[in-house]
Order: sequence, then C-alpha cells, then structure tokens
Amino acid sequence: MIKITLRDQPLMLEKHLSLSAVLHQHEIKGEHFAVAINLTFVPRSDYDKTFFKEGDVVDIILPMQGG
Amino acid sequence: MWQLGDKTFSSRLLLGTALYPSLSVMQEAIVASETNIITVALRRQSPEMKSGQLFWDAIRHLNCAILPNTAGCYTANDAVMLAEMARELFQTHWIKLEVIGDEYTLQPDAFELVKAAKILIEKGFEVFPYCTDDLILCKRLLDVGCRILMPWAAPIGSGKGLIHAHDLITLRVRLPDATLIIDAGIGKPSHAVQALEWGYDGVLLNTAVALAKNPVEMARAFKEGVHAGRRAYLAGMMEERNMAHPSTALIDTPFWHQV
Repeated sequence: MIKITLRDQPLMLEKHLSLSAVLHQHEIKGEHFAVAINLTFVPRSDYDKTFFKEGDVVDIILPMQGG
Repeated sequence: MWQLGDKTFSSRLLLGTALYPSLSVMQEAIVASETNIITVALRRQSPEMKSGQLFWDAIRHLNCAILPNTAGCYTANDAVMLAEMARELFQTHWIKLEVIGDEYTLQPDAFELVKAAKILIEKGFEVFPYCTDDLILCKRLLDVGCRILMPWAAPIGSGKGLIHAHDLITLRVRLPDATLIIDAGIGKPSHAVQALEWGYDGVLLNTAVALAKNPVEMARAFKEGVHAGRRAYLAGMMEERNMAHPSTALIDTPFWHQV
C-alpha cells in the first residue's frame, strides 16, 4: 500500500493501481476534467499507463467561470 | 463578419463568464450580448466542490466558441501546463494567456508572458496574450508568433476605461496587421465604443456586465456600443477642428445684412 493525496484528501491505495483505475473507483468520469500529478499535467491518453508512488499529489481540474 | 485566428465571427464582443449573480443570469446575458466567444477558467477541485458540471452544462448549449484562460498563473511554466489542460478539457487550441506579475494591479509579467507565448505557439496553440499597452512588448509577442494581442485598457475589474489613450492609439497605428482586442478595464459601453472607433478589432470584458444592476440589459448595451464603434470607424470620422464652423449656410438668411 502507498499513501497519496487526491483532491486534498489522503488516500491509501495498492501500488499496482493505475490512474485510470483510481479515477474509476472515485467516480471521476466524463470528458470535462483534467488531471495533474505533482503539478504536472497528465494527458488522458496516459491514464491507463500512469501509476503512483508514495506521496504523489493528484489534482482534478474542472471548468469554472472566468473572465 | 471578421476573422479571428482561424475562425470567422459576427460579433466583436468577447464576454467573460464570471461574477454573475447566477448561472441563469450569465446565460441570459451571454445570449443578449450576441457574443460568439466566451471566456472560461480552470480550477482545482476541492473536496467540498462536487464538480464543474453545472457550469459546463450552462455554457455548452450557448453555441459560443470557448476561450479558456490561464488566470492565476505567475510563471510561464504554470501557464503552459494550464493551457495544455485547457486544450484537452475544452477541445480547443485557443488560449487566453495570462501571466500575472503583480498581485495588486494584476499587471502581466512581460518577460514570462513572451516566454510562455513562444512555448505555446510551438505547441500549436493560438495564443491570445493579455498584455499591457507597451509597444515593444507587443512587438515581441508578434515576433514569437502571436497573431492576436489583447492589451489592457486598465487593471482587471477596475472599470476605469481606456486610461492610456495615446499608447493604445499608438499600438493600433504601429501594428496595423495585428488583431487587437482590448481586454480588461472596460467599465461602460462608451469605453467599448471608443476602442472600436480607434480601430480596435474587438473588446473583451466581464465585470462591467456581470456587476451591472441589470447584467442582461448591460450586455445589450455593450452589443450596441460595439456595433456603433465599429460602424463609426468604418464610416470614417471627421477631423476635429479648433474653431467653430457654421453648419448652416448664412447667405440669404433673413437677417444676413445685420451680421
């Protein structure tokens, strides 16, 4: 097990889980979000092949009102 | 119709989506403005924030092109990363590039802005840089491949209007081939009229509509202001004169001999 942070919340998960699997587990779905790990953008095409290491910080980025 | 980047539009008014009293008022204002382009932002999802789905649902059927911004970025690297996220999320290569250099005035950081613009253009983006009215900065942005420039009129959200008239007019004169859009600082429709009369290609604003007592009516007012300014520019305005010139001919008026 490793500890990461997802949306500012600590999360324990098995090391072999991909980003794709974690998003699925947390019902983060649809087309209108983006992901950054440790402040680095992860393209959607890489979700299946992205795995975590201890201490990773995962942010979900959403559309918002802006000027 | 006018060309903006690789697209053609009828409206020269670009409208922001923030600060409205509600999403429904925002939608009404966007429709009333007849804008073709709306700006949006990206934010980290916090635990208490369920999703951006409500906002996305509110804008997706408005039939407007989406111009995502990089608001909140202070470095070129951050802005580039946010732009890449925006491209994936909104399926557009357009980016309103904001790289702020001072948190009090929200003045753009000229150095980081040029650096970010260069990287993004190499990555295939159409960059809309939010910049100052500094001629040399604007030239550098054009040098790295920007086709569109968005100089501020005044600090974001201030509503002060076109405070550096001479510099803004100079930009238009010195950069006749660039698409110039005033971004930030517009407070009322007369400011938009003025910018379009000077030959600016468009105006981008948000707060002036969103914080009006009646945002929907103000959106209509801006629509009409932008039309008026553009028509005046195309019509060709008279030269200002220092002395009075009677508009009515005096010869043969009943009392001409008393003059």
